[in-house]
Amino acid sequence: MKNRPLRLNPEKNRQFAENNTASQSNSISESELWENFLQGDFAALSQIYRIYVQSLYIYGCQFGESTLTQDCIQELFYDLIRKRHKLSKVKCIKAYLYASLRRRIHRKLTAGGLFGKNRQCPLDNCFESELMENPFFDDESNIKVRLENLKHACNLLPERQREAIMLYYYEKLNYKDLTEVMRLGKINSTRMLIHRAISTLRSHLKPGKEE
Amino acid sequence: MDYSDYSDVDFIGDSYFAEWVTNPNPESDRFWQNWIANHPEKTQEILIATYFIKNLTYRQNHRLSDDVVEKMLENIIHYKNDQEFKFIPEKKKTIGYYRYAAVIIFLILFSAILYVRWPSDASVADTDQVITKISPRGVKMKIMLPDSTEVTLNSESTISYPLKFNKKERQVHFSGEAFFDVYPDASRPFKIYSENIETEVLGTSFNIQDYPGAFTSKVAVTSGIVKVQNHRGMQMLLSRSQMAVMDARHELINRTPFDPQEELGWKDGILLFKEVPLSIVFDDLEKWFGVDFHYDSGIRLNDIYNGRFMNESLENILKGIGFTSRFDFTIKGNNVYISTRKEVSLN
Repeated sequence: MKNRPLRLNPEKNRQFAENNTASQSNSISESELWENFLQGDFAALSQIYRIYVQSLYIYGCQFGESTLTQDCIQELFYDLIRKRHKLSKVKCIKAYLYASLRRRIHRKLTAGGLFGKNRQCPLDNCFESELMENPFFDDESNIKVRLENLKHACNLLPERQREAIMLYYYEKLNYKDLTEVMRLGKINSTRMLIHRAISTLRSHLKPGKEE
Repeated sequence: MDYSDYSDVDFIGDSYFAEWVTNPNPESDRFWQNWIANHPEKTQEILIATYFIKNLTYRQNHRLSDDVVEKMLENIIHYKNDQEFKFIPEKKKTIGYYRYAAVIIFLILFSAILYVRWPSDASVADTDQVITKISPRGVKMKIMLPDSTEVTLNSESTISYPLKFNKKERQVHFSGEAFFDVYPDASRPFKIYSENIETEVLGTSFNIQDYPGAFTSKVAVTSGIVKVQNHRGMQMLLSRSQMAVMDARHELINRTPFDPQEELGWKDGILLFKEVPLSIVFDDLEKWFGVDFHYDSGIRLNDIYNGRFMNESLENILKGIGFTSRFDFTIKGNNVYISTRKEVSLN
């Protein structure tokens, strides 16, 4: 039963293509989706792909290599299909995919050893953040100035802290999933990393900023 | 936990706060709504922290084009020679047909558009065609706008919107009371023009009450950030669980906390009267059930009434109110007659 080939269900497939933007589908839970994929359901895999491909790509590009990211995403999904008999249940598909993509990108960037020619990580502009413009805030308002300062302070953080901040606030991963993605080992290390980032932000914003 | 000396950065770094902003549960919702209501002086810090958590994004955020997404999926399936993927040729074929079909449909549509648009400039663009929906007395309506925004209209309310929103902003004209669940689109602000106020949002949910002729207009926010402005140009930013109350005569805007059941209960069939005079109770019931009230001179319309009804019939509600406020009633069609209760002396 484990070796059943992936099923192609064109009917289902078309349906997914139409509402691929709908997040995580209304009727089927993440774990069910994963379970269906492990059982060999092709439609489930393509749905997982469609849900996550854009955010995986944007995340991967933060390491500075867009073509490499594309390759890694393809390999990641190819390996999923190929190794699905060996895969087990996952609690959070997103964290699993992110962790795997991150590992692949790091491996490629550091290929050829520590001093290999491909080594270019960490890059200075990794995980630069931006705040979406809001037409409500007047240009000179306190709020706008403060938000602008916050954004700058974020971009001054060391790379790992920046990544943690983005994964926590933007990607909305919880501490546990963040620990898995950044391979920090213990939840407490993740907590510390975020805590340090916030302390740095606080100290960047303190001097000269009376309110 | 004492949050009273927290700065905006402290709020951002507080996981209880951050989790409430991104993923609230009833418990954290109760806590933070309460806290914000009791600390109006912290509005700016809360606003900044909320905005930061919600709107932080990557500077570098190019997406893949649809073509590339499909191409990559094909690559993944075709990658090397995996024997298990016998279905591939079949799949390729169907995709091919889809492609031809898409091209043909596109050509047909394109020529149709040319045909329709070209000869006459009299034809109106979709953005100019206005749709108006009116919910009469006693009727509530759910409407889906062209951008997937959901609007629940309370009775005696009107909304008009274009068949298709333009690229810059989404504008609707509105009067009465409605709950808006605005589809998030940061590039196109959503603007609502009503009797006394102008409300602007990006993607949030909130309740507006702005009936023509009423003394007050209210905007109650249930998620995100909302900007309200009156005709004098006075502006106010509201965050979740805050309400703006506008006084039509003095053109003042006040920010207050609100009771969700009191302001939003109507859309779930809850009628809530909190310390209101009977005259208001009757007005509300007229609107709610689409009936007319007639009362004799003995009814004391200024008497204060408290009560809560959920999906109750008019008759049951009147029985309830009549019991405490001591009146009898008869319902004849769309008319309700209220008369003073003939007191039976106990002595």
